[in-house]
Amino acid sequence: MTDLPAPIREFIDTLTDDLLAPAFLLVNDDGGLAAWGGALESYGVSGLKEGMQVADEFIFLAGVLPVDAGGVFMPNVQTRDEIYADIYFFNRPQGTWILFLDATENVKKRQALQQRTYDVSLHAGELEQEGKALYDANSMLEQRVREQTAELSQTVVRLQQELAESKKAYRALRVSEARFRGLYECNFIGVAFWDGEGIITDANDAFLHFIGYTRDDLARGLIQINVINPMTSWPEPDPEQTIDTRPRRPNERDFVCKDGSRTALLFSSSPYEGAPAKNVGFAVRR
Amino acid sequence: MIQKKICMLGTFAVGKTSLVRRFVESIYSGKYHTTVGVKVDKKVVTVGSEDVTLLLWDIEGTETEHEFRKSYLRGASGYLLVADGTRKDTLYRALALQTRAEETIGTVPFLLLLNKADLAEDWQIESREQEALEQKNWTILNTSAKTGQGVEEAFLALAEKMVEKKDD
Repeated sequence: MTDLPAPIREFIDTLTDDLLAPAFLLVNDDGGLAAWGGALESYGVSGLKEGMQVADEFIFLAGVLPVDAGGVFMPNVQTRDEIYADIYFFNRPQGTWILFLDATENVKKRQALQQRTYDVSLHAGELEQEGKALYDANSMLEQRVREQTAELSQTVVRLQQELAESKKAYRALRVSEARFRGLYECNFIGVAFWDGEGIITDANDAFLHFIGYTRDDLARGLIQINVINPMTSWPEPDPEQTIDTRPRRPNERDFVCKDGSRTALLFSSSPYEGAPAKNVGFAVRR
Repeated sequence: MIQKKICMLGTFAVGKTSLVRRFVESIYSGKYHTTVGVKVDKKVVTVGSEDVTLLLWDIEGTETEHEFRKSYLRGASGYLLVADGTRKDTLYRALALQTRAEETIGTVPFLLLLNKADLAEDWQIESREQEALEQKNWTILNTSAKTGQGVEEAFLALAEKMVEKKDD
C-alpha cells in the first residue's frame, strides 16, 4: 500500500466514489451471496438477498464463478441500458469479491473513436475492392487490346500479302497490255472487235487496210462482221450459254472488201473472257 | 432451467450485434454501430422437450485476434464464429479467433456463420474454402441478419449441440 497521508487517501476515496461509483458483491464458495454494497443500483443490480445465486440472477455474471487465484477482469460490461462497468473478480479468505467500477464515460469516448476508426477501415476496404475491380477491368481491357492488336497485325500482314500479290498481278497485266498494244499497233496483224450484233466497234489500221474500210466507216458503225465475212456462220449470243473462251482455230477465210472485191485472210476469233457478246479477231494476209 | 452462455466472436462489422438483435428482438438496423466491451442478452429456446436459456454475449469485434480479451469467454458453453461473406479477410480473422477460443475454453460446440448472405453479388468467400472447413466437420451456415435467413436456425443448431454435449 502506498504511504499516503490521510487527507490524500480521503480525497482519492471521494474522487473514486464520484467518478467510478464503486459497488461490490461478496460471494461464498458455493456461489451464494454473502454481502453487498456501494452503488449497485446504478448498475441495475437490485433485489439482493443473502444466499442467492448471483450468477443465476445477473446474466453478465453467468459462468464466471468460481474464479482462479489470479482473478478475472472483464472490462466494459453492459450491466443495463447505457451503463457499463469494469468488473473485477478476485478471491480473498472471505470469498470471491466482485467489484464494479463505472466505465460508462470511458465506453462512450471509446465508442466514438472506435466508430470512426472502423468506419474509415470499412471505407478503405470498399475503396480497396473498388480499386481491385478497376484493376481487374483494366487488365481485361488490356487483354482485349492485346488480342485485337494481334488480330489487327495478322490482318495487316494478310493485306500486305494481298497488296504484294495485287502489285504482281498488276505488273503482269501491264506487261500483257504492252504486248497486246504492240500487236494492235503493228501493221501486219489485223485486230478487230465486234459486239453481239456483229458491228465492229474497234479495229486497227492493218485490219481496216485489209478490207478497204476507213476509220470514219468504223466510227459510223458501217462495218459488220457478217457482211465482210458472210461465208462464216456467226452464232447468236446466248447469255445463258456457258462461255467457251478458247480461241477458234485459225483458218483462211474470204473477206469482202468495201469495194466488193474479195481478199483471203488467215483469221482466228474468240469471245472476250466473261463477255459472250464481245469478240476479238486476228487476221493475217497470206 | 438450463442456462447456456454463447459468445459471439468475429472481427468488427461482421454483424454479430445484428444477428443477436434479429434473434432476440426480430429487428434489424442497416446502420453500423460498433460495440464496445460486451453486451449480454438472453432468449429462451426449446431443445427437444427442454427449455434452455441462452445467454448471448455480444463481444466487441477487434481488428486482430490478439486484441481479443479472453476473460469474456469464461464459462461459455459454445460460440458462434461470425464472418462477413462480402469481406474475405473476416473469414481468416474468424479462423484465428476460433484457435484462440479453443486455447482458452477447450473444445466446445461452435458454428461458423457467413453473414450478409443477402449481398450475394458482393460475395467473396469461395465454395472451396467453405468445403475445406466442412471437411474438418465444421458446421457452416449462410445467414442474413437483414432478411433473417438462417439466424434462428443457427442459434437453435448451436443450442442443440450444446445440450447434446451436456448429455454426453
